[in-house]
Amino acid sequence: MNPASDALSDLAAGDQPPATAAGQAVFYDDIQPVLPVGEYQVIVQNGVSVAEPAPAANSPNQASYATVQRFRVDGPRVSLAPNDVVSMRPPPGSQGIYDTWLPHVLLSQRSLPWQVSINNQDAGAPTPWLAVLLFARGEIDVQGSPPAPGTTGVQTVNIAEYLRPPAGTLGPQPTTGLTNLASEAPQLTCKVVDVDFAAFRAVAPKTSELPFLASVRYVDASDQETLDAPYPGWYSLVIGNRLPTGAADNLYVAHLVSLEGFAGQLPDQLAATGYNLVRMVSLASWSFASTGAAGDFTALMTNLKVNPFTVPISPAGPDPTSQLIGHAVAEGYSMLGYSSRLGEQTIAWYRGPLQPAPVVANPQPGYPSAAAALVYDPTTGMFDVSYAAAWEIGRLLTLANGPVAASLATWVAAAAGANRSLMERSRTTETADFSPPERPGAGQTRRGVARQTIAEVVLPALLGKGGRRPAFGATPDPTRLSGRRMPGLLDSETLHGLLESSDDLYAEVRAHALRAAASSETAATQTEPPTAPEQT
Amino acid sequence: MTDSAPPRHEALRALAADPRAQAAAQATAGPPPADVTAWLADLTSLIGVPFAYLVPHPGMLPPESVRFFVVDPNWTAALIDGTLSISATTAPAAAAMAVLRPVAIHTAHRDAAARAQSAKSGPPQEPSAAATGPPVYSGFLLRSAAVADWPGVQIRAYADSAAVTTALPAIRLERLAPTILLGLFSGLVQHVEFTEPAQHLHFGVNSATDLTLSVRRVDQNQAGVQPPGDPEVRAAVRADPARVVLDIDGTVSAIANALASVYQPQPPPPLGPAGFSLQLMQATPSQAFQSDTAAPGPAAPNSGPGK
Repeated sequence: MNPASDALSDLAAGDQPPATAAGQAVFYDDIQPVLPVGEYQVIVQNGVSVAEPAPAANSPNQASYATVQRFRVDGPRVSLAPNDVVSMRPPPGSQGIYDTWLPHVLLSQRSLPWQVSINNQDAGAPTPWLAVLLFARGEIDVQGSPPAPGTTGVQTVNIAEYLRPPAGTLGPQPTTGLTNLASEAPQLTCKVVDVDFAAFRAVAPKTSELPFLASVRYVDASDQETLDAPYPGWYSLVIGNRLPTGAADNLYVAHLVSLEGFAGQLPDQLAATGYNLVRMVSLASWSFASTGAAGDFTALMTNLKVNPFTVPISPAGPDPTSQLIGHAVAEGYSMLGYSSRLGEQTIAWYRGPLQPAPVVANPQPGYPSAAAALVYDPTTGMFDVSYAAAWEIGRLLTLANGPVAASLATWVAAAAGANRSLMERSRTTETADFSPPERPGAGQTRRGVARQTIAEVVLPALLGKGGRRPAFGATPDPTRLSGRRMPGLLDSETLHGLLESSDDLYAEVRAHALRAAASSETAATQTEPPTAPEQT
Repeated sequence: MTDSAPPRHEALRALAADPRAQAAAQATAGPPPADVTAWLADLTSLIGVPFAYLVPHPGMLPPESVRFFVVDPNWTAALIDGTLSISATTAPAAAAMAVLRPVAIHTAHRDAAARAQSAKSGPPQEPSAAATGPPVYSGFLLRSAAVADWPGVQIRAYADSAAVTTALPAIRLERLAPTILLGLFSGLVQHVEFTEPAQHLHFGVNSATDLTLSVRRVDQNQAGVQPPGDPEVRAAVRADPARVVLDIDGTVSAIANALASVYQPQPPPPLGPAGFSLQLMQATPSQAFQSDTAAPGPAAPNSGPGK
């Protein structure tokens, strides 16, 4: 089924969804496709006639031009797309008290049951080509034996084999569409089911019954989980006509079959002779057991267990540890393994965004890192990593989303740029100006700002003025002792002076120390750095 | 290096704290880009958060169970902070981010509230909800075979246990796994009803022994309504001792006869396939669950467990 033909076939009911409230449904007898599946041709004729002046004797005064464009509306003849079937009831593989249920299939394409004609007739007659046939397991034949329990007995054959089944097996009356399909794609495979001939005659609907077994509904889906469907809210429905009751092993198999080519074999027609099996395309099939154990919606819902959203442990005991763990678990905490950043393997508290009880909002100024969101619990000596984990997964998820990360960065860069230019302007003028910067005409000011910044900030920083280390080159005085007078120590100038004045260094140093001790008060006032702080 | 801390960072930080500068920076940057807002709104409704972060322990959600929860606004706030952190790569950007953060969070909450409001069933929300603080989200996790077998379960959540108020607007109704359904609503859920979806109402007869069908009206205004007295007809079956196959033609004419007496003296509306499927419909009562998250927990946020 290609999208184009899908759209074509559904233009029929191209009306708006009916006005409904949530949970309401609107029923329709059928929705006919605009163009049922089949071969078409568009013939364009253009007649030209010349009135004035009168034509020459031999030339015609009329001409006709025509062109023919052939096209085909393709459809699901021998298979359905995986999402065409919304649901099958009773649920596949389930067990339940289904003896009052008619099996049915819900389809996501609203015109699907009317897209194909069941005989060679021109489409348009509202006879569905789909039917749900319910069989007991024993009425289906797989190479001479019934299908295994839980299976539906479908076999995969190629299309030619479907059109020419083995002797004793009734196949479809080849229609133009099926014949074309077989000649164009002979390797195409389809799923078929072989059914006991008598069972087929007993179960298949009569031609007059077929229209009553298919209908369309629109359901207001605003209070349902979101489903992926081509026409949200629109469904077509095919119902079976047999109740699952009476089979010896309680096992039933339902098939959504294509009746294309079987118009002449339905129970209101004369039975063909010489056949013991019927081979049909099975578009969908499922098996279920109609027994005592309830598996229907009500039973499932009644059996649901409602408990607080916590780890299901209840440490009993009066000791403080059990009390503490019990308390934490009741608040939704779980204990998870935690590799600390020091490499230590330990455990930490964690609780997710979904809490068993309301939590008061506690606005924070914004965590700059995951570690900032760690909460240390001094009672247990454990970390609560809940918010740290939230921070980290938020970061990872957004990093993985390239387009959003890029536009977030652009947005922040705009604000950062605004901050930067604000700061520059507040340096040049005495009073800060917080109005958004005007873009044009600000060049002169900016150049001045740049010059001033270079002169007052960049150069001093580079040269190491103002007591800072210069940006480049080695520090001239790594010990930072230059110019300082240390009590009890000789600075380098004094030492050089002493060395030059005398040969007996020890005597000179001793004499110097005695002089220094005598004038210690004077020396204390001179320990300040000689360089005065510069103005910046 | 303490003696040479660049003054630029200090100045930027001081600038970012100035309300006038904040206004200027916000005016220059403008509102957050639409994709950022949508992404943040997604995150506030926990879209994309891995399942293990929501349910850290498998025992918290065993098979065939339903669990009610309230969303921790502090957790989503930390999630948003982590998101915004990716652009705070330099000190100026971090300072700018601090200015833009309230705008981003506010817009995200407004966007999420608008989404909830656009849900058809939701009542109009007072616009001040987003302005006063983070919105209250709550909901349930349903793990059941019913999620897989009945796609499109209808869910109504109410803020009172008697379900007399209008249903809360659904923010998310989403299958997280084949059998796990997450329902997230704006407001504090106290009562949830699960109903078999209308398109899945099953079809059949009322009783397997006498094969009766309830007659329902088929006119435009009262379609599906059972007439007074709850008339029933017996479905016709084919003559087959081994199987119970409905004789559709016979059943249709039996229903048409019954409808004729319901509508007399007017002629009954024609009984088509839609009307016939209405007669076969078997309704399922909805199942109600009361939330157990009503009592405010003793948990104080950001204080660790055991307090």
